[in-house]
Amino acid sequence: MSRFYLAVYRISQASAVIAAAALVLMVGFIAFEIVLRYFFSTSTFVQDEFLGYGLALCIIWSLGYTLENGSMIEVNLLSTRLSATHQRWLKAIGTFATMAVILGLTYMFWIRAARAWDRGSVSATSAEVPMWVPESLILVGLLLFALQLLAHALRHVTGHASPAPAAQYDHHDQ
Amino acid sequence: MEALFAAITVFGILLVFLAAGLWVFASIALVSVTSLWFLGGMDLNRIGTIAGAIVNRYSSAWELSAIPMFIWMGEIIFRTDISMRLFRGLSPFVSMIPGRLLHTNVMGCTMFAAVSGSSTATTATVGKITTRELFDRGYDKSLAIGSLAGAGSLGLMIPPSLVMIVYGILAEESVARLFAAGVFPGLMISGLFTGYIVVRSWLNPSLVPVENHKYRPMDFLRAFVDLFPLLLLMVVVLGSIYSGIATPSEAAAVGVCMSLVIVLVTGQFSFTMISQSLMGALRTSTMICALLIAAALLSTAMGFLHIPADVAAGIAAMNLSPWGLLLILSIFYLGLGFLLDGNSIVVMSLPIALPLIVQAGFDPIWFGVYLVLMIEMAAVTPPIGFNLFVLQGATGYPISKVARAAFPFFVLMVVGVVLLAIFPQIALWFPNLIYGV
Repeated sequence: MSRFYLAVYRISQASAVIAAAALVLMVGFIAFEIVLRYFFSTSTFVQDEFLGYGLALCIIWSLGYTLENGSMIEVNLLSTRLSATHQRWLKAIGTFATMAVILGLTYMFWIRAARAWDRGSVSATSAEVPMWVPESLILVGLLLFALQLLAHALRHVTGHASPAPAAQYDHHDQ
Repeated sequence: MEALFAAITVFGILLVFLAAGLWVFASIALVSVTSLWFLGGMDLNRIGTIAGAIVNRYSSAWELSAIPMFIWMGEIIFRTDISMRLFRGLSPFVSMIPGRLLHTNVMGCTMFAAVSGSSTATTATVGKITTRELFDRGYDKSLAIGSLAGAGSLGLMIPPSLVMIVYGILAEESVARLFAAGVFPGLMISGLFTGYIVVRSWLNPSLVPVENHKYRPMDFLRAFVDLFPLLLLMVVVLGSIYSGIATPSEAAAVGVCMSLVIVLVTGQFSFTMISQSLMGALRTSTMICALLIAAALLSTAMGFLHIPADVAAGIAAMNLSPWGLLLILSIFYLGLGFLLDGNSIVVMSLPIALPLIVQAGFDPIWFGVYLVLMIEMAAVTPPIGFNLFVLQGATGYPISKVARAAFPFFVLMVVGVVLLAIFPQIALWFPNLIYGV
């Protein structure tokens, strides 16, 4: 099972790298837009739209990485009073429940993307981006997150340690 | 009674999920789905349609893109020699004030808060150098820790503030206006802390060691050079927002570019540093945005169950004065602050608190500032107080000792809340001046 957990974590890491690239591109896009606006008195006219797509990629594709690295906030006031085994089972049940919600959402995005594909819907801007593209990006991101949740839950059931490096301390928790 | 039952049930389920150790974002999402399913009588297909639309709307909201970019800017600056520069740069300027170097905590946090949106980042960055330096030089440890814990929370109030972006998105208020509203309350709190250190040091000179070092004009010039990168970043980021040249998202992107220029010019650039800052920014912004999306779902679920409207009607029937309502809310937020972090408090309470406060005649921009101040207090109250955790790690002291040291500064923040309630113009005059009433 350790191989499975590591493989899933590597997938989460890889998708987070893509999310990070999206963040870099968002910064670059805005810088380009500002240069266009102030030096050439023009605009791409699609900044807000593409920033939205970038943000979706940035957030949804890094959910699994963020979760497995222990950066999601939790309140452990009562659960820490339980035995280690009970804590593990409680966490596993909670993670399976979360996975069910995420899988439900993934299904909804499958419907949304399929509908956009069938109808040939495009964005209401000059870019006319086919709407199934951003919908599918969210769909894939949610699916990857569900996979990480599955590995996380099973890891608690089997009592394996996380393949992520020791919980990283984030300075922006609040 | 039905609304009360629904509200109690929703919060009861939420507490069960939170107590079970589930992530806050997952707890909020699960309680939203179960409430709509069991209390709202909706089928799963309809709940899924609603949830899908919300996830799509909020994960693609360009206004939110300011969050990862401001966080990345802070992560880059955090990884530079900024802590040492702040301490060196501020030392000559504070040497003439009673309490001397203790003020590097308050002023350092006030300045760093202007380029960071987070209290823990502010506390950690400034504390990295000041705690060791102040301890080694013989300054009172309790006052050193307490002032840092209190002043670190200014990261939430002085723009750019992440929690204000979250509030602005959920309350549908202008983030730029909220940023302007946070400036003077932030400076007021900073002033209260500085005044407290001056008075304590004046009443009890043994809190501050005797130092005979005399600063020359050249020292002040060197100090200015040390502070220059931070001042430049402050001017570029905040100046571009307040002058109307850039939106908060654009200012955040400009801030990232400027911090990259600073690390290049000061010879601190490395690909490892940039990739670490990027991944750190990603983890934090994903955590915040996941909370925000879950909160939007909770808000919609509560709307379907008519909870905010019914609770507002119930409170109205009690004929509470606006001040009575504010007092009750303040006690409620203080209670939440003992258990939850700032972002969680905002996203969980806002669906009910905001309609109540607007109905009572309070300005939503003012309420945003008030809420941030309440959350600042949460950052220094145990058992969940993120600034206390940072200082526990930095000093090795038990959390109880750190919390005791921070208590006077918590009281000063209560004074700040009272002043803000009595004189709302402390928050409102600046945004009204820039953007009109």
